[in-house]
Order: sequence, then structure tokens, then C-alpha cells
Amino acid sequence: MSKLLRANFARLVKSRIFWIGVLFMAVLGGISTMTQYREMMTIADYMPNIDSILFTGCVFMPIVSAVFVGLFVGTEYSDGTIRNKMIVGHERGAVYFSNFIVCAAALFVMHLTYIAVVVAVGFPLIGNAELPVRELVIMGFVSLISLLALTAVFVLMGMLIHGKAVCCVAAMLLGLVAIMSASMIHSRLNEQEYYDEYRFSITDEEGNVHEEQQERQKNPLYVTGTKRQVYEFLYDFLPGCQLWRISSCEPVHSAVFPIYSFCITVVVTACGMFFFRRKNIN
Amino acid sequence: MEYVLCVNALSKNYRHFKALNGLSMKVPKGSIYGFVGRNGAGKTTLIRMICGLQEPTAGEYVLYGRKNTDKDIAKSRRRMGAVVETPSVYLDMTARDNLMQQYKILGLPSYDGLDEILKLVGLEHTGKKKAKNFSLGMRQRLGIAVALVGTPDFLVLDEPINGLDPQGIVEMRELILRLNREQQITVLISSHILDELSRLATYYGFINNGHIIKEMSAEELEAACRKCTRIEVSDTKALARALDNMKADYKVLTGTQAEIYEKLNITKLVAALSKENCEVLSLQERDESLESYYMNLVGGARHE
Repeated sequence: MSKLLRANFARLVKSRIFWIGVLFMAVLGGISTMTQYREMMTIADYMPNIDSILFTGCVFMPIVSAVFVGLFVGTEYSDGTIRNKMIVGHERGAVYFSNFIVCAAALFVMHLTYIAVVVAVGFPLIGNAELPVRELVIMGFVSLISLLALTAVFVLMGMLIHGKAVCCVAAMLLGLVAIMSASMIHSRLNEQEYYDEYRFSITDEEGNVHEEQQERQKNPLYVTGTKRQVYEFLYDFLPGCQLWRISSCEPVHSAVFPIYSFCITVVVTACGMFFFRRKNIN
Repeated sequence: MEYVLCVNALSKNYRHFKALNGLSMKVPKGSIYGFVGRNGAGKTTLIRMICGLQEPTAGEYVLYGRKNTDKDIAKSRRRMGAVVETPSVYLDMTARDNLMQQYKILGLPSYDGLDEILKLVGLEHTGKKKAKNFSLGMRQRLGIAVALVGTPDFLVLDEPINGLDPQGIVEMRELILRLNREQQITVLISSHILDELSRLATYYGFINNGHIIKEMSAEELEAACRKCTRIEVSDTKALARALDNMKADYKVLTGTQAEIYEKLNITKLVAALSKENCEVLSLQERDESLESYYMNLVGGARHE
């Protein structure tokens, strides 16, 4: 497999889509930092900290990884070069796993590029972080493991879906679903259980003002029972949700998230390799 | 005879469709094996299978002495190169980068021989031009160059002249002949362009509906397609005597039929037969091309 890794990394370094991804994340990091800095300079008493933007790039990673993996792996099928690896006797498992490792490494580089730019530009302009460095390092580590799980899912799609265009579209849709489902679960879990009581005035046709009082009411959107437990589990379990939470600096279960992501990575990669071994390559 | 590839009763089903149906064939070492069949006959399916891209539903093949089910079949595969359907090259890379990539895939320690391969396929002057800007012929040649990395002993080419212009076809033919004669590479080449194949192949396998209907050497095929006059007479013994007297090259097929392989004076032959009381029932000139030979084979197979 070392031969395949060497070949894949050599291809990665020459890959235009990889460098576009790195550049995109670097520009994004710069824009996030400068936006914070501008707000700090224009709004009085606004004291932002670097923590709030350090992991914002995570929210873009599902789409970035979908596009990158779809194109990088999809090219192997569209150009037919995956055949060159098999014809000369490389094991299918090795072909699959080497692609996974290279895609994961490429996405780590993109993710870390964002963080590096925020740190490099943000520290001098905005100042130090509020959270302790140890906590930030843990969040960074958790985000990388979540990204690994997401990569495993996209690599599975890339290796099993034959057409590059179909694969890219499917992966991007999944990436969007990952972000939207995270947003939806977040908002549902943060619904308040009761609407507070409030008073309001009504003026009738004759100009008389009546004071009304609305009693405390149950919020119909508030999720309870098993449904809430399922939502909470998904919010912890899904890599898209994990990245969403890290990006918005929500408290993360640093012990649980990596275990979930690692399990997803192992199961998805094992399934992908199983089906790829049986796949008819044209 | 030593064989590079022996295929034994290989079958491949795609759901209810039988792409290969108990196909058996043998590719002799050092030959250019012309794999002839119309579109959909199963040529590419077989090639995909021997390249390890697909698994057979039933049957087996032996590549350089190793069965496809052997764990070390990969060692045999390392001795082969292939271009399946379209050339497998990275379109956003140059010819040199594509070859370097294949060197890495094979784990070769250096790029020794890279320039020679580029020269062999006539792509040594392509410089920084990317493969996506190559003509179809250049891409085909680059595909073959990639397949030649690692100095394979067995080259599998699936329809390599499809879509090429006349000059491209000539270049491809010369390249294949050079590889076979100068580097002793055994070549399996599939095509449905029979005329072109007849200029290359030293051995033929005719495939129809997923199985081989005939395997033969180029000499045997030449004999089968030889120009001749087929004659039907009342007594072939008398015909044989008359032809011997005329020192003609002939072959008796049945008690009433024979084939004469040279231009004869028919009046003299009929007069000689008349003296022997032998009647000439019919006379037919046959000039069978590879194409008509194949059509007869396929037609015959269809009516079986």
C-alpha cells in the first residue's frame, strides 16, 4: 500500500482542486478574522475573542470535503486510472484505503489552514483566546476526528458511485443535509419548553385600550421524550452535528465525540471496502 | 506450446444477461492474439476479467501459471499491462507525469526507461502539453505507454484503433508489431475491424455470444481463406487422377466435392474428366476474405 500512498500523495500535490481547497479555506479564515476585527473597531464596547472564529471553518468542511473527495476520487473513475492500479495487481482494499488516507490528509490540511490563518491574523488584531489553550487543542483534535468520519462517508460514495458528476452532486447534497440537519436539530433542541406569560394592549374601534394577559403556554415545537433523546443522540453522534457544535463553540463532549466518529469511520470504511471488493469496474 | 493465458469455461452474468458463456481460449507466448468479435460479443468483458477488474461468475483462468483464485495472482498481473476501452490516463497531467505516476504505482525505485517509453510511443516531444489536449491517437499511445511501464511481458489492448484516423491506425499497427518483434511482448488485441487485425495477428480467437467459436493460427486462417475453385463431380477418384496429371494443388472434401487451389484451364479439365466418364455437376469460384470467413463462422454458430 505504501506504493499507492506515494503515488496518491504525489498526485495530491499536483492536484489543482486540492490547492483551490487550501486557498478557499485560507481566504475564509482571513475574511472571518477581518470581519470580527472590523466589528471590534466599529462597535463600541464590543470585545470579540478569537475562540468564536477559530473553528468557524468547520461548518464549511462538509461541503468542501464533499466537493474535494467527489472530484479527487471521481477522477480515478472518469479518467479510468483506477484500472491502472488494479491491472498491475494492487489489492482493492489497498486501493480503497490509500484513497481514504490521502483524502483525509488533504482535508486535514485544508481545515488546519483555516485555523492557522485565523491564529496568524487574529492574535495580533483581536487578541488572545478566552478559552484555555488545552481546551482549544482538544476542540481542534475533536474536529479532526469528526472530519475523518465525514471523509470516510464521502470516500465510500466516491469509491462506489461510478460517475464523477453523479458522485459530486450526491456528496454535495449529503454535505448540505449534514449542515442543515445539524442546524435543524440545534434549533429544535434549543426551543424553550414554555412561552413566558406576557401582557399586551388592544385598542378597539372606539379607541378604548384593553389590557390582556397571555398565560404561560407550552411550546408545541419543544421536543420531549424519546424524540428528544433521539435528537440529542444524533446531535452528539453525527459528524456534521459535531462540526456544527465545534464551529459555534458549543461545549463538546470531548470523550464521546471522537469515539462516535471513530466508530463511524471504522464501520463506513469496512462497508466501503466490502462493497468495493465486489464492485465491477468498467 | 507455452501459453501466457489459459481461459477455461469462463462465465460472467450481469443479472439475467450472460456476457460470457463458458468461454475457453489459450494465448500462446510470443503471439499477437487477435480477439475477434462483434460489439457485445463479450471481448471487453473477458479483458476486464483477466485484468482483475471484474470477477467471473463461473470458470477460471490461468495467467502465467497462476489461477485467478490463487492468492499470488497479483504477481502474474505485475507481468501484464493493459488498455481497457479508453486509455487510462490523468487528463490534467502531461505524458511524462502520467508515466511517473505509474512508476510510483508500481513502486519502481527510479524513472529509468521513462524517456525510452515516451520515444517508443512517439510522445517524447509533448513537453508540458496536458493529456486533455492530446489527440485521440496520442491518448491511445499514452495509454499504451502507461501499460508498458514496468516492462510487461503481456500486453492487453482493447479495441486500440477505435476512432483513430488512417495515419493513427498505421502508427498503432507499427507500434504493436515493434513491441511484439523487438521486445517479445505477447499481445492480446481485441477488435471488430477484421481487415486491420489480419495485418497484425499471428493467432485468432473468434468470439460470439460469449464463447469462442473457433481458435486458429494465422496460417490456418490463411489456408481457410485461400482463393480456390470448388468443384462438384460424379467421381472424385477420376477428378483426382485428372488433377494429378495436370499437377494441380487440390483437396478432396467429400466423395463428390473437391477444392482446387490454382487457376486451371476449365476446358482441359472437363475434357480430361469426360474421358474418365466423370460428369461435372457444378463449378464455383471461392475467394473468402477474413470478413466472410468470420460471417460464416458467426452465421454457423447462430444456427447451431
